[in-house]
Amino acid sequence: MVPTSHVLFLGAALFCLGLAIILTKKNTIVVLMGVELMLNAANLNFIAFARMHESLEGQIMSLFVIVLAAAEAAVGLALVLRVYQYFKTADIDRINSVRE
Amino acid sequence: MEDKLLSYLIFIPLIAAALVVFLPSKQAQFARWVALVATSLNLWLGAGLYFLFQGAEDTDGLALFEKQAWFTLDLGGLGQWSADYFVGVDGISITMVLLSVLIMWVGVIASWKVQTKTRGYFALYLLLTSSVLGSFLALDLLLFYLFFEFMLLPMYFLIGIWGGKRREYASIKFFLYTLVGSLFILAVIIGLYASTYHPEATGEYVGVERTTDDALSYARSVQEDVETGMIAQDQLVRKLDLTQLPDPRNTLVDSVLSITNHAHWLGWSLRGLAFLLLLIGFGIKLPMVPLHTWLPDAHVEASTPISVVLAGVLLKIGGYGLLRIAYPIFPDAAVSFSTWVAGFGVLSIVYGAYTALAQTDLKKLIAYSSVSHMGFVLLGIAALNTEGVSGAIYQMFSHGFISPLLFLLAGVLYDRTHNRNIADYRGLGQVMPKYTAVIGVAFFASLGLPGFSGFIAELFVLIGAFSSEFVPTWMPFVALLGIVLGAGYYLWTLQRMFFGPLQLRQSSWRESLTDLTPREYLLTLPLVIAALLFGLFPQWVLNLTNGGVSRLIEGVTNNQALLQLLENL
Amino acid sequence: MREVTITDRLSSISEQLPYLLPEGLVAITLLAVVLANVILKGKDHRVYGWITLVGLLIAIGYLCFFSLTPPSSTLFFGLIQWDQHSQYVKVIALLGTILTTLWSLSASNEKFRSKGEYYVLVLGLLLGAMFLGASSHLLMVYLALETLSLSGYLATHLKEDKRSAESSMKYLLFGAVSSGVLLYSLSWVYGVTGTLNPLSPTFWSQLNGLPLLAQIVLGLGVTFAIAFKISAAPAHLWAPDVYETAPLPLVAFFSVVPKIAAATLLLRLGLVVSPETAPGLNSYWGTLWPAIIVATLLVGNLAALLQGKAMRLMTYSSIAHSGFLLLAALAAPWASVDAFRIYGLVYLIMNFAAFGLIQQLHQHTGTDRISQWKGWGQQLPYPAILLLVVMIALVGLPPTAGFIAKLITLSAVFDVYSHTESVWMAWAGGIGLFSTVVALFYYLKIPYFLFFKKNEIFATNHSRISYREVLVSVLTLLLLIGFFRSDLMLEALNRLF
Repeated sequence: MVPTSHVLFLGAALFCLGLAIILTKKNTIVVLMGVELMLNAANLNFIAFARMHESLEGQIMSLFVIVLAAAEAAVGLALVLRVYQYFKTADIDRINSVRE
Repeated sequence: MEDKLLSYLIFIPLIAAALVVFLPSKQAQFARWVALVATSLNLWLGAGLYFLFQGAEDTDGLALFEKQAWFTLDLGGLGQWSADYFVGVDGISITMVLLSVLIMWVGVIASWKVQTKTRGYFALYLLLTSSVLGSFLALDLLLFYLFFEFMLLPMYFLIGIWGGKRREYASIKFFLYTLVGSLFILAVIIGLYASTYHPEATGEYVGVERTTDDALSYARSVQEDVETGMIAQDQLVRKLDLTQLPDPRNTLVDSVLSITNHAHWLGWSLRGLAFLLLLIGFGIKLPMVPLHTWLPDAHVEASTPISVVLAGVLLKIGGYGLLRIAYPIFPDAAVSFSTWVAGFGVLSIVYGAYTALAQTDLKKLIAYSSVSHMGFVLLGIAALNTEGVSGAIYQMFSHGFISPLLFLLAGVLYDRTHNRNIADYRGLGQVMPKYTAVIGVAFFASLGLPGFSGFIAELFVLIGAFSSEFVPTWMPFVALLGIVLGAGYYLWTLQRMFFGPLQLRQSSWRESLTDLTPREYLLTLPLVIAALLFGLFPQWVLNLTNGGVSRLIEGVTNNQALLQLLENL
Repeated sequence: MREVTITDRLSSISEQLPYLLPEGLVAITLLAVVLANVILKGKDHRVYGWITLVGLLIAIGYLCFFSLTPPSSTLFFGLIQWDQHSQYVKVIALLGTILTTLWSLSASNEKFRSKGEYYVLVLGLLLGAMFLGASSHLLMVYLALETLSLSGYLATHLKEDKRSAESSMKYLLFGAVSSGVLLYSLSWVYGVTGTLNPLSPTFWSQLNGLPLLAQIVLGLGVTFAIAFKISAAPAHLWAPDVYETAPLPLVAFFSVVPKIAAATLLLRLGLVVSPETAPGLNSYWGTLWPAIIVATLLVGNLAALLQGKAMRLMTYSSIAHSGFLLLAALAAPWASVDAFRIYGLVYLIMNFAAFGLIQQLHQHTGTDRISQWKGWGQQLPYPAILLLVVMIALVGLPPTAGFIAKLITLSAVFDVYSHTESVWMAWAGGIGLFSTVVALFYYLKIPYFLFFKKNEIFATNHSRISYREVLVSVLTLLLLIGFFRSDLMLEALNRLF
């Protein structure tokens, strides 16, 4: 059986990767992917801990997270599409019309 | 004696203001009549109050009062918050109330020629009247604060819309300064709500049985219950009754403002800090140097009637607040800060007079002379003896009609030439002899010539300061220098503007410089007569104030002694 | 002991469902709007707004007068709390949504007001806020936050223009990152404690076993999520752009309802956190939150000073008010819950009144640049005077309920300070008090231009009195009554729950 700590390390690595992507990448779609990584890191943790505690709460939580992550991705992609229509780019730094 | 008269004083102008707002725009010129009727009614009521007051003071010192429950909030852990509609007059406030009704009446007549947006002007003016009277009459601190804050808005608009060229700057400066001051006061109010309770209301709320009709012994029994813990913290009724707050027993022992736990913040004793906040808050209003810089701007930009009201009444609320709130509630801090208060008073006297010497604008000169004169109020209060405090009240009263007189006279000149520059005139006595005579008398009254009310006031303050243990002896000497400087700037101005051969900057002014009109006589003569009368018969005022002042001094010294005793335990 | 079967669980759920009827009514209304949209084949029509309004009125009527009290305050196995705080948030959220709907319906010449999806999203936001106020279980907190956020992202883009697309996308990125951080820290909280329910005793005993620093790190996710929802500094950056580009009635909603719901969450956490249970987390209440509040007050007030447009001014002023709301929520567990409740209610009233009046002036003058409003006080005396009163309430001066709210909040803070001697709390209270001066400066800018400045050229488009004007008058009157009879306000709040 895989020890819980292995999973936690993987989760932490995923989280850091996601955070790094968010902080460095400028393309909005890539940033959304980074967010997705963070959510999945949390999911891994939840499941690993659920197994450790032998309770179902973590698994239920991760199910909800998966559903909501999908919803968030749908909304996010729709908005990115809209932004792309207006700005012809998905680069965050070049999307700047509000503060003029 | 419970009486509705005081409420009439507050609500007549308020109702009149509502009437003015709802006047149809075609009848806008009647606004001034409504205002005149309302203030005249108030003047009449004021006269009635004067006669009712004589010998009517009961044991609390309140000649007349009215008390009605306003609201009670059950705030759980914060206890019961309560406030009353509690108004009353005693020896401290009676002169201020009489002064206000007179000056607000004079102000209406002085505003007779206001043509633009008449309805708005008089509605705001009446609101101001109502809140000014309210703040002098209120005996519940929250009610006082309501009126005190509510004065700002009408004043802001009265300066900002009907003022001179830089009116917007002046009105915002006025508003910001006074708002900062009132926030300091609010901080203390919050502290007091957290630290004090009202014994009688608490007793009634908890259901402590009344064994006697004597309110004091009932309060004592409740206080004992609170001290022994029979009454829990969250059952206390917190009400800022200004007649009860001075009693040190009403301050909770473990609260921030309690004397015994020596609460400190950044090295300051919290009671001292609270007193200092009040001193700054009311000092801005007074104004106390170095917090005075809003005043010259406000005066210069305000129209004549607004200057009259500002100098005649509004400034007094600063001194009144110190006497009514700061000193009685924090006697220990007041005593330890006395030297500072007196020092600021002397600084105001000398700095105001010295700066007045350098002014080229007649109105600014009068404004700085106000700063100087209000310094005497601080000095008198700091002396903390009967002479000093009586002198301070007398000074507020006397300055209350001498400075409006001066502003009215400055306004007379401004009406004719739209210029107040001292250097632009010479030998006005040639063309306006009567005006010169009146302004001469006014100047003499203001510089404190014997025979005028200002002299009595300053004399009392100086005697008080010399004999006080809280004021170093050199301070009244320096204050004397201020009087000499005062004589200097007035006489110099008189000489520059009114004596000698006629010289005007523009010869076209020659035609417009006509002498006083009957309306202007009506405005100025009563004030001149008042200055003279109260200079010759000081007992008329002193009889009114004596009881209140001695009670105040007694209370402050007794409580101070008690607090010292507690502190040493 | 008998095994708890799935049938038991289902029956207990069905027994408890009636206590969620207000939420159910809102959900039904939402579906009704969707259905109407389908029936009308997606065409724009005002009927969506009316359906929403009717549904909301039924919901609030039920909530205020027929609401059932459950036997225990915890429903659905600890997921939902039913207590005075949850009821309070529900009433505030419903009131806010009703006003939003009314403001939307009266917004003339705006496309969004007859769109079905607009009302669906508003109702979605409402549901999120109602559940957020009622949740203490962390799963429920997450779900409610996401409901609020997802509806919010979409609603921001309802004007369907370039700028709103941009701001809504930035809002989404901010929100997504914040929920990612929240979830990751929640996963660790779960790992440490073995439960996601802060009301269970093991939760705190396990947390207490952790070193201080670990406790503090675990708290960061929830802190950031609340700060984000309430637009507290430094998580406020999304707010100005969103507020500027979202439909105006929705901005009024954004600046009140989610904030009060999130502040209630903070209050709930404050009720269970204590120095004994989790000293590290407790330091959030003594230090970190007051520091956030100080930053929020400073950022909101100082930035509002620089704004030339009424809407942007209200944006930053609402950030400043977030600071106050947080202050009240922070002090509530120790001093008085009433301070928070009164502040929230008064803030709702004055904010909606202000937005209604700004909308009105905008429609008349065609601009929300304050300097272009000069002299309009003469032309539109009635709304201008109402706006003056509302601005005074927002500053927090007497004679308005804004003063009472501020006074009680600051007193509660003072009370907390005098018991805990937290220096940060004192700073937060002091800055709260003196931010009034700055607030006065920017709020009075509007009446200043309306009354002090003159303008000769006027477009004459007097319209008849709209029902919005009547409503705004009522709200303003409430602000005055709330001052003179603040006891009635508190009594009304207490009587409801």
